[in-house]
Amino acid sequence: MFRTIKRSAAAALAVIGLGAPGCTESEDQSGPDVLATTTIWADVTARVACSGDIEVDSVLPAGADPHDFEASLADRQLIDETSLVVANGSGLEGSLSGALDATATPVIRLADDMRTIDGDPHIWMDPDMVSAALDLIGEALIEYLDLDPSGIEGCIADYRSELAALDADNAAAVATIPAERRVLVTNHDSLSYYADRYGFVVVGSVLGSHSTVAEPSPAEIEELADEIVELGVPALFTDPGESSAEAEAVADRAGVEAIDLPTGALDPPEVATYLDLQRVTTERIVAGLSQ
Amino acid sequence: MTLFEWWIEPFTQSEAMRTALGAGLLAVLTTSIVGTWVVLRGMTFLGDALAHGVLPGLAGAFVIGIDPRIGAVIAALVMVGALNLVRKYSPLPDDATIGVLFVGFLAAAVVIMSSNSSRYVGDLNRFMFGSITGITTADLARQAVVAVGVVVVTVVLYRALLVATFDETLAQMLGLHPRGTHTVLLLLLALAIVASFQAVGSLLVFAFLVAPPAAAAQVVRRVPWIMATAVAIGAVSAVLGLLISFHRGTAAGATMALVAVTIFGCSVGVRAVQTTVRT
Repeated sequence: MFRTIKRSAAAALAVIGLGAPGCTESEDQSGPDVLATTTIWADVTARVACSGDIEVDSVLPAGADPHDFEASLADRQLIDETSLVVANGSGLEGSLSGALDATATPVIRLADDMRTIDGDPHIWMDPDMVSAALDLIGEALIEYLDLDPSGIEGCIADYRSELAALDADNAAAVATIPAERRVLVTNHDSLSYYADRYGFVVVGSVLGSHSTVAEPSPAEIEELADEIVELGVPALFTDPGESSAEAEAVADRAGVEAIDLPTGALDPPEVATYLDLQRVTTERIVAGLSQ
Repeated sequence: MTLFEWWIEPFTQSEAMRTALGAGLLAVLTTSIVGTWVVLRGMTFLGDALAHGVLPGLAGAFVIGIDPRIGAVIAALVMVGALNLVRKYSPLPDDATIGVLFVGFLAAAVVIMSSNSSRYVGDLNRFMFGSITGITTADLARQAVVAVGVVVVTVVLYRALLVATFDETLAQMLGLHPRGTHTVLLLLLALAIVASFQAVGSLLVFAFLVAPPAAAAQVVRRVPWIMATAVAIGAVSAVLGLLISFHRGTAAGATMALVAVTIFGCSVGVRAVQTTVRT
């Protein structure tokens, strides 16, 4: 994806150029028109804005875990200079939330306007909720970037039909998993919305909280491993970037496979768009639970 | 890019950079002055323990939903109180007590957070690593109040702190209450940490507490000069750290801390060269 390549190239230049102020910076200093906090929302926002000639970028680089992301003053500058920030909200932005609170740029926090499960921020794992978020993003684009409402409506309609197709595909794929195996054991609560949408049961996350900071007790690991054996689930699922040592310990103990899911961020080339993220997640879950 | 563009323009252009600079400089003023006493009195380990000791207070504040700064102050006071209590009743050397309290407080923070499974705790990171990208004017005002308080207390208690630092028996004989002075210093330390962790984070504030005064103590001798030099070194670290973060997109708090530690390394180098040349 172009913007990701551009971003990594800039990062590489920054590393090479460190200590030698005075080179490598291009003259074109104008930042993106709209800034999303995560790569996922940047992709969705770009789809909503498909009719206008605007640049959408993300504060977090591809593959970065929003929970441990550290904001720089360069990020703050980008936020201050852009016309609109699309944030996930509900605490996902971590240390970036300070900058979002302080900036004069309009910020929309999608999860804050939606019905969340217990404040869980991972709303994008349900395509239906993303579909609902399109209107919020569209309204903000019209208000703050003066984009043509009919163009935005067209983009939203197109994307919404793709999301509906994705949703139907997900549901069809999940239907092939034997009903008693529709159990998600995961090291992070990021799958709650996905589970809710497609009728999975989430069995005691290896981590007790949404965050990666708290760790499980040995008794909890033991208990979970026993539960997995009892349920006869063939796989458990981990988030790359999360502490997976405990998840692997549980998988080892229960004799099942630990499978990585790309739920937190886009990670090109395989997961270049939000639709890819959903498809890859479903593929891996179906493959893991059907074996 | 010209020198002007690299060094000056970020501050003239960006409101956020000016606010960050203000927060950084206030944190430097507070921590360098308190830190000078911490370094000279050999209390750095305690400073480290206190900087981490605020964590259970932060975690607890998040669980019950009060201002995290209040939780941090309470945790720091509990640690200071516990330390004085153990010191009073046990012949253990201070560093053993501090070590036990340190690890105990850290463990307490993790336990409190793990018991709080239903709520999202992402906000805690903001206090552990600082959020100088999101400082408000209210934050600046709070920091300024603490900075002024620290300067005033240091000036008023200067003689007591100085004598108690270098000769506790003499301080006792002069009626300067070295124990009371010590407690006041601990309170100042706790206050400096809590006031500054919004800017640099509770895990990194320690770098500002120790590195600039330690570097200054290598090159000058008299206490007021150490303080002044430490403030200058800290200020350079803050400005340079902010600029690097601005131009290169690195995490702001950590970059400032790294610059401060690098300057300390340079000061040791200067000292080594001086010693070699003299002998």
